[in-house]
Amino acid sequence: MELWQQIALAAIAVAVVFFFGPGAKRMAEESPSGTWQDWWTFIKIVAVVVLGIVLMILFLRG
Amino acid sequence: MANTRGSEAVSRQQTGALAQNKVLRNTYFLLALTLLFSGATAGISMAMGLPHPGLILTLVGYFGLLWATSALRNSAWGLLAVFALTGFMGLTLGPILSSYIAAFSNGSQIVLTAFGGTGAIFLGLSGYAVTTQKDFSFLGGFIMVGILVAFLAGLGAVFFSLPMLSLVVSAAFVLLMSGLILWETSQIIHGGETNYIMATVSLYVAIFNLFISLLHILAAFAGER
Repeated sequence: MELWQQIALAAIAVAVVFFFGPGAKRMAEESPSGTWQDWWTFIKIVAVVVLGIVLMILFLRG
Repeated sequence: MANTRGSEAVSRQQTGALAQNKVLRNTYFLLALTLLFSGATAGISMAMGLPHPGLILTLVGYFGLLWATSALRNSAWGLLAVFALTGFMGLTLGPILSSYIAAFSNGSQIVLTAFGGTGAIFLGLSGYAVTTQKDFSFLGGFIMVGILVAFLAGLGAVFFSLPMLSLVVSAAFVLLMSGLILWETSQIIHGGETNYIMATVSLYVAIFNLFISLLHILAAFAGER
């Protein structure tokens, strides 16, 4: 990667933190904290997604 | 008197539910159109053999058009901005698909599997949020902070040429985009999102990132050279 590209990437990273960082922080503070049951539901959903991806890999490997 | 108040409350509830249904219907309709449009632009860029514009131009174009869409979200120009954004993202997707097809002997199969998998995951998650009416607003902070951290880690992986970190970022994006689909659909259902243009952009970005991340993971674990 050329020097100007490295500088541009670093500038984009700084800009993203500068513009989106406060919004993400505010959202983290303001969004309701879920119950243990809510998070458990989310974990189960993610587990199903992961299982689906594993099946896709197995399908592709034949 | 009490009966009148009761019927007014029921009427207000019905009006709210109708408005939310309208946002959901408009969002799904616009999402379908933008997906078709970006599919067409991806196909055109593949057929013409256009080169990838590079990460920097892609990010500048993406964030610029995202900002324009957000600024114009309450006017008819917002629709034009959504199509400009999704068309641009489709154009950048074409060369990525071409590179996967050229780099792997089972490249076409990987692309089709990622395509089908993305569709199945989106329909499953969005359908789950709609049918259960569950409130996923608690995911908001986790998703936004997670996306920010994963995005910076992704830039770090490119900057320092770390393919393993790049794969970890793709796995994290699958998790985060799954959460984003649940969260955004839930926001529409519960009245947290009333602008169908922004809802469409959010779901489109989730689907796009999910597809790219799936492509990366499937190629890493099942790609044959």
